[in-house]
Amino acid sequence: MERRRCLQFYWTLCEQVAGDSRGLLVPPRATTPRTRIGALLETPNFYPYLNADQNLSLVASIKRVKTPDIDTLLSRVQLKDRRKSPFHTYSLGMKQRLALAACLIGDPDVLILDEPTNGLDPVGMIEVRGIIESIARQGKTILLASHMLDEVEKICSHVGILKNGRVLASGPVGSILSDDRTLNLATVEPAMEALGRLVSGYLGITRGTRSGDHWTFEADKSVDPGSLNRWIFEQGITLTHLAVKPRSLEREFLEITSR
Amino acid sequence: MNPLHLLALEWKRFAPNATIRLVVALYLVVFGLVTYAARLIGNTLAMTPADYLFVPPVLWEFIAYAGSWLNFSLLGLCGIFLITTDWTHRTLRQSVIFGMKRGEVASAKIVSAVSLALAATLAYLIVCIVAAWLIDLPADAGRALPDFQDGLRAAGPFFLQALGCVLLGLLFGAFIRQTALATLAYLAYIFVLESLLRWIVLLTVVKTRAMLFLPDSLFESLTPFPTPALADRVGRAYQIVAPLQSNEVILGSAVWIVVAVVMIHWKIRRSDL
Repeated sequence: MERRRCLQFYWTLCEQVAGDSRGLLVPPRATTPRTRIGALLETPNFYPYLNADQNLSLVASIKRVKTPDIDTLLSRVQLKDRRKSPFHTYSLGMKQRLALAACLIGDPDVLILDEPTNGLDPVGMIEVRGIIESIARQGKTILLASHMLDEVEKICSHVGILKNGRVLASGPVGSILSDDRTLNLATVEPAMEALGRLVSGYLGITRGTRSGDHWTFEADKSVDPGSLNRWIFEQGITLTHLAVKPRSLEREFLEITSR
Repeated sequence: MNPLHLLALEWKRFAPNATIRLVVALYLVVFGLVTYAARLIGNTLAMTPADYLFVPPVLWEFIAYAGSWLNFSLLGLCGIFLITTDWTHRTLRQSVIFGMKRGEVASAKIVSAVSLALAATLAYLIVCIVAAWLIDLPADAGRALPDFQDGLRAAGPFFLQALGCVLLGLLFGAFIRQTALATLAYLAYIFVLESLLRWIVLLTVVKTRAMLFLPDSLFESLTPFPTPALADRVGRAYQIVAPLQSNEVILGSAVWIVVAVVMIHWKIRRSDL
């Protein structure tokens, strides 16, 4: 559903901008708005018998870019060594990188990427993520749709959470993430149950769960880990482990969508 | 986009395609070889008609007839591959994402079909000229330069037929979407189904000339076998149908070509690419 929504958004955006030469996202120099927007939607579809050079040259012709700098683009997506290999010989990561290169033809101002790391192995994900970050550093606007919230948290500056076609939350990633934190605590085994009971009653601790040899507590921003540690020690328990983690986007997402 | 730009795009897409290359190479090679083989057979059997067939102006008609088999088979297949390759790899969808309009995607296919038909017609003219100049003719026939007005008169219907075949292939490919199925359906229709339908219905039900206006029938009639005696004999035997006049054939074929173009456009514009 999200993918389709992204696609619909893309078309709507293009159609609206097409009727307005003063389009917000597409500058007036754009002749055909769609060619001024780079889009990677679903899996990359190229002619399997054409190599990277030929496929990119075709895309450049479609976008009416007369002198595409295919060399630079292929270097940027680390495909220069395989430029003469047919597309069907590429791994999924290479296909995805070629699609990113195709998106960049014509130096678009906006990129729309739908699940760009979907199906990639960890190395492929890191490579694609690195390319996206390098594009963003050039000042391009990137609209990224993804179910992988860890990835979103790592590379996006702003985030919007959609459910059933409605925007539940949006804004800079930092503003979506609350100041609440997660505390991981552990002590020696005989005192573990007592630790759980003790900390659950501490002001600002909302929820605690035990998993294996440690407790995880949700804590609001009023809880100072140092004070908590001192208080636990004063109650006769010595912690062997205390770690403070900010709330992840994934946890925020679950909380926001379950309201 | 202008047609030349669309043609350039299609060229980039399909010029490196091994299947298209093979089919085009087969078309050219087989066209030449069939013509040469026909002449050899004529020599071997000392058949007067063979000499007759290779002397202009009959030469234009005979080679057009020989080429018509290639139009119906290989050019039709080319038409199928031009569209099913895109369906299979979802590259039409990608083209639209990259900035083409659906109408442009459809027009690019039509432009390809016209270009293929033009190329086939050019190949036909070259084969005719080579045949007229190089094939050993009987002494009394002379070795006159072929009359190009005759050639152009024959090239027009040949072009229409070639275009009709590519468009028919495109139409099957556009609706069936799978290469193998579309190929089977196309070949079955061209070589079996329409003929059966035409003659069974014609002989048993309709008993008028209406059934001769089906697309395959019209496209075939554009390049009839140039031995009127045989055609007359068949006509007399059935005493049912008067053969189509050439203006009827050309007009009817043009109508089917327009119908095919409209349907291909409609299908591509309305499909989930």
